Amino acid sequence: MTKPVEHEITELLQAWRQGDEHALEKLTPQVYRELHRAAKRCMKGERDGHTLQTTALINELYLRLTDLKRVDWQNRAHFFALCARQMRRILTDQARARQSHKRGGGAQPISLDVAPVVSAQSHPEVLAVDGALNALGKIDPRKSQVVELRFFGGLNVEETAEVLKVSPDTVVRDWRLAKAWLLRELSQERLDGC
Amino acid sequence: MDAERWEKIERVFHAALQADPSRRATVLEDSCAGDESLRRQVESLLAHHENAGAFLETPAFATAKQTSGSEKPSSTSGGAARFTAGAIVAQYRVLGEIGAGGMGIVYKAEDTKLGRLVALKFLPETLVTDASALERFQREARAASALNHPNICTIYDIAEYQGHPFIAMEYLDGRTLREHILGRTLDGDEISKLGIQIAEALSAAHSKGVVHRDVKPGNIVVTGSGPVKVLDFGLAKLIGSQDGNAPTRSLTESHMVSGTLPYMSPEQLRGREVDARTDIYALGVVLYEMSTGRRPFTAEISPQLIDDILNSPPPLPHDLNSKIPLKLEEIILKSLEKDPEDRYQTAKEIAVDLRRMTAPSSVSQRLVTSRPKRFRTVARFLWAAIPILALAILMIGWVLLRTTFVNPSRSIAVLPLVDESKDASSQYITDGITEGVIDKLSEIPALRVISRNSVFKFKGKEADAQAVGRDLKVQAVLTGRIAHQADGVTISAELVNVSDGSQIWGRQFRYPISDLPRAQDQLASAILDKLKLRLNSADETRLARSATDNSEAYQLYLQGRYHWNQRTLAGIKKSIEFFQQATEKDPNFALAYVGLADAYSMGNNLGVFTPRESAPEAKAAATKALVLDPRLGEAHAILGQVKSHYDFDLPGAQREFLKAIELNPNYANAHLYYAGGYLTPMGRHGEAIAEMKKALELDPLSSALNNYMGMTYLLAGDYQKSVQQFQHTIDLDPTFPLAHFFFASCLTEIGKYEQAIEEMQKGALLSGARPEEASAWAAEFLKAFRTGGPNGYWQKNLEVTLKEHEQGGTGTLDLASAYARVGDKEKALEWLQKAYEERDGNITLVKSYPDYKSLRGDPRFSALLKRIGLPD
Repeated sequence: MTKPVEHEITELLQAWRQGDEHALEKLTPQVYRELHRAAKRCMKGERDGHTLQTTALINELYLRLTDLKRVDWQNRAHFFALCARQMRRILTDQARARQSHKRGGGAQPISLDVAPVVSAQSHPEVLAVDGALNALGKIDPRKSQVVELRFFGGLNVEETAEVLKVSPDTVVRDWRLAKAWLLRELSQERLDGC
Repeated sequence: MDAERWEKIERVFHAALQADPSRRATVLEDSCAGDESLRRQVESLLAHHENAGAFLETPAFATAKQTSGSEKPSSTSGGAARFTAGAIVAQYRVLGEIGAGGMGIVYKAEDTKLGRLVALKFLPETLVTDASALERFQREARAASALNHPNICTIYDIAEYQGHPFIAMEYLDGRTLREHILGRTLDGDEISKLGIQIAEALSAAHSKGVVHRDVKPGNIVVTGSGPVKVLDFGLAKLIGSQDGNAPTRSLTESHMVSGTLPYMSPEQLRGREVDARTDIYALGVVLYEMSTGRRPFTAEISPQLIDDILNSPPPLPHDLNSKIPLKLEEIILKSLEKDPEDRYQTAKEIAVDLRRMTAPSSVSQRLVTSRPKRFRTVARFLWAAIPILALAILMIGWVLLRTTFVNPSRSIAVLPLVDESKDASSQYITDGITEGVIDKLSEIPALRVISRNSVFKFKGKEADAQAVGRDLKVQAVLTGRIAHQADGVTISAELVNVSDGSQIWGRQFRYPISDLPRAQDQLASAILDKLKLRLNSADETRLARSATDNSEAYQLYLQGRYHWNQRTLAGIKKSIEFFQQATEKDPNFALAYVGLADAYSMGNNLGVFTPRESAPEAKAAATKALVLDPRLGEAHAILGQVKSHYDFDLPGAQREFLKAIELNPNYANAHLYYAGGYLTPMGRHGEAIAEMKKALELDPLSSALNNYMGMTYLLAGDYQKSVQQFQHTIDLDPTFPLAHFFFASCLTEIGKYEQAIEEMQKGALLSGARPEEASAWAAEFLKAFRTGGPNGYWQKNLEVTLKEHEQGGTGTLDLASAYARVGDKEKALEWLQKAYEERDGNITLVKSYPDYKSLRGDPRFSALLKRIGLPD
């Protein structure tokens, strides 16, 4: 409690970048919580009237959570990747919670903190995409990451390229094929088991 | 599926997509080469690709947002009311829509009462959702409507129509500056003309307490031949104040959307309080864009853009468009300073500087001098040339003092500028600037500045600033690069906080080389302004001194310093020529006389001159320097040195040394001279050691200083410390011959003759002796010691010294000490007398030198000490 949150997160980001996986373990719940809180505030209409962009959300989070003097773009790329992953979790968790609720499986009470930010009904795609994305990840992890960053993280092509350390062209190509593949996957039309 | 197969699918997929649709089938056919399964795979993917449409194109979270909650279907653009042409809104008839955006919708309309054209702006309803928001909106709009200025778009009315608040304002027939620029560059005159008007508009608003907060080309209208008009004063605040708890969040978000982000100032991005200077920053961006056709920071990726705005210096506008005046570049850069304190403080100042940019120079000069002292503007500052430039970087030191350290003992190392042009002929300028900065900073008593000698060890090395800072035990390190152009130099400097490696301050400067004379006063006052908060008047005087108005003289001085620093016989002689020429160009150039004095003094040490040749010259030059500027610590130090070593006026020398230290406590040599030229001769060894420690703090890597520290211990009789110190000196630089010789003399004092011989041999080799010569010589000494003990050693020493003296290799004092060592008092005193007559400065140390132990108590020795002024 002694350290301001931005210092802690900055340090964790740096440690993670230098290969410390424990740092990631500590970082993940923090980012999840902060992102969740931000998304929830956003959904409650606190900022009604503005076009909402996921990147804007993450950017703000980033500005708020990190010590800007001490982090560089490398950290930021990591942060974005992390946020995209957490956003994916938030959205799928909510969708799942919603479903189990509907099925009457109220066994897991929804605590105040994980109250839904997104209505699963309004977003039936999320779970399906998440599942298909897992499958794609097994065949081609990078393409799955491109989709995660763009769809869940809201990153544009350049930002995605920066995070993945590839050219924007590669991102465009990956994105194109991944979308076609996912769409096919979701339409259940599978060929040769792939 | 295996990776190979997947890769194949991918390759064919992209190949087919790239092909002309008519050729796609052929491409598929060829690529699959009979592999039917592959073909079907790719075909199905291609089909899904065709059908993908908007699949996944909207990020998940945004999708969620759109489809949830209760939308107001009638609202667009953040929920502003929509009207079609012909609609009557209060007293206005809508003629058509002019535009829509994040700030609402704007209509062209006719005021049916007054019969004039107006623009109606309906704000997004979401901005005015409740009574308090509406009130805030009205308050802001009213404040803006009170602004009456030819360059501000006039607000006629603030009203409400069916619950939709709107503003009626002056209808402007023209286009926005954004459309006006559209990627092209404007010429200097036009930029000045437009810029002055925008600045005047801002100035008028600021004087009424209204900050625009969203200055950008889209909010500026250029009306044909008429005036420029700035729109939407204060309205951005409405967005900012929506979420009172965290202005940053809503601001960055909405600005990212409305495209304002590139114009946002660092403090705005950080969510800090904004004031007039935020508008000044934005105006800087606008000027930048007009000058170069692009914005200072162009990163596509918003976090990168934010990072650049917060931390990176903008690319120099003149590099992007060499047609714009350099003065304009300075104005722009000053407006774009990261720290609001470093920017123009008022928009009026920008207008003044823009006007001066195009005005004849006599006028500008007058303006400069007639202006109040408080805000010395960038134009004067940046137009300064080299001597000033050195001073300019000095400011960094003050940024440091102001912002980083609470600890009263502050310290900095200024690393040599890295010369990007790697052109040997410009080296003297590069080094001269670094030295100038060190010199200037050195005069600030509250700051410990690592001396030139220690920092130049890092010259030409890509040293890590933080690591160097740790080595030198300082809190901050200044690093920089310099590029030489035909007409000037560009310097980018960065101040690094050693504790965490972060940047405290960074900035680019550009200086034309041609304009030396004018620069002087301007810079001095600019610096003084900067330092005012911290410096007392005595300090101010120090900074205002001793430079020259004459650029030629200054360049000659820099060349002199460059050669002096080579510390070679030829270098010293050359430096004297340059310093002399500098004094000819400007007979009142005090620093050039200091250089001359330094050169003669160093020349004496190196044996280029005899004391009788050099001392009077050094004294004359130092005296002249002090006549011109009595506060030059370096000159006092040299004068002290002459008084001690040549005049044998020790009390006089002490006065000079103390004065030198008082004036320039960061001058390492002043401490050295005081220790060696007064304290040690007087037998005040404890104080001498303390003084040497101070010198070493300032110049920790200097071999000469470290070596002399060892000597100070030796003369104080502390052999243990002396041994340690010599070992440290040799570790620091094993190739420094003097350290081996001094170490050897220490070793003989503790009876380690054989080791002493070894050290002497090393020293001889390093001084250029041939190896066989050195080893033969060492063997002789060793034999003498092994057969005759210490006496044998000293006899051999006398023999060798006499031989070398015949060949002109050793001095008078060496002979005196060699005789004293073997107990030949008569000869020793005889040679001491000679040394005295030759005014060999080292004679002041005879009282403490162990060599002369045998003479102690002899009345003739006592008489000599008395004549030199030493206590017996």
